[in-house]
Amino acid sequence: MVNDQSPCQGAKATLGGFEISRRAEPETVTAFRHRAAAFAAEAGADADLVSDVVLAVSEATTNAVKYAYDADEEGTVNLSATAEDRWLTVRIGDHGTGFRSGPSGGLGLGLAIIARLCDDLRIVQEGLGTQVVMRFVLA
Amino acid sequence: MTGKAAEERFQRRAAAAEINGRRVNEAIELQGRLDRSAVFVCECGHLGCSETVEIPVAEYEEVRTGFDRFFVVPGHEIEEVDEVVERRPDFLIVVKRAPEAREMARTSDGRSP
Repeated sequence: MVNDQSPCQGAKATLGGFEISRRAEPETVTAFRHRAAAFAAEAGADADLVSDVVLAVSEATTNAVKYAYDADEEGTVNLSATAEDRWLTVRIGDHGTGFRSGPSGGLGLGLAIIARLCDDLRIVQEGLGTQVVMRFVLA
Repeated sequence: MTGKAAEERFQRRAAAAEINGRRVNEAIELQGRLDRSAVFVCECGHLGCSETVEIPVAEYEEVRTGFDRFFVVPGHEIEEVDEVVERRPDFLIVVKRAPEAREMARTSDGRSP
């Protein structure tokens, strides 16, 4: 773990949030799942919503680990989250080469799943890297 | 969660799924080349859908000639919500019937003025 700022203090509706950066490797998917699940629960998400957040984070992180960097290239993946005004916002970012079309369709499949899980999805591709911004309404 | 809250979440997610799907495809299209193919996701409102279709990027661009046009896998159109305006071999182009849905499509479309 390169950086973990995790104050997570204050009222449930305005949790401070956190940011983590890790190597783009399969173990990062598990680490991000656990961290996102804990934060979502702390923010007041019910079990169904926590489950949606975990799956969305898994898919987005898997995409970054598998597709953001070339096989011989080392890179990092970032996870950050905030909870404010009934919105839980989770971001997965990388510094890779953006979406690359391939014959497998794996990237599209993961994104199709994410599109169904969150209430608002933004994909930001500016300069180097991609940020997948997933927002969930806290019931 | 109460039944009403669960139903509200379901309805909200269904509407969001279509718009989110379109945003995914915009990102895919942005990285593609018009003379190449790419894998696009179905923009239907079914929450369990994770269908993808590989088509030329130029063909997806033809879908996006109007803010209310959506790319949908055949059979995924919802009769009460969608009107099929074009049928292609691998996908359909649908427009939203309800004024509210059309307004949501317009305001969420980054290409709309």
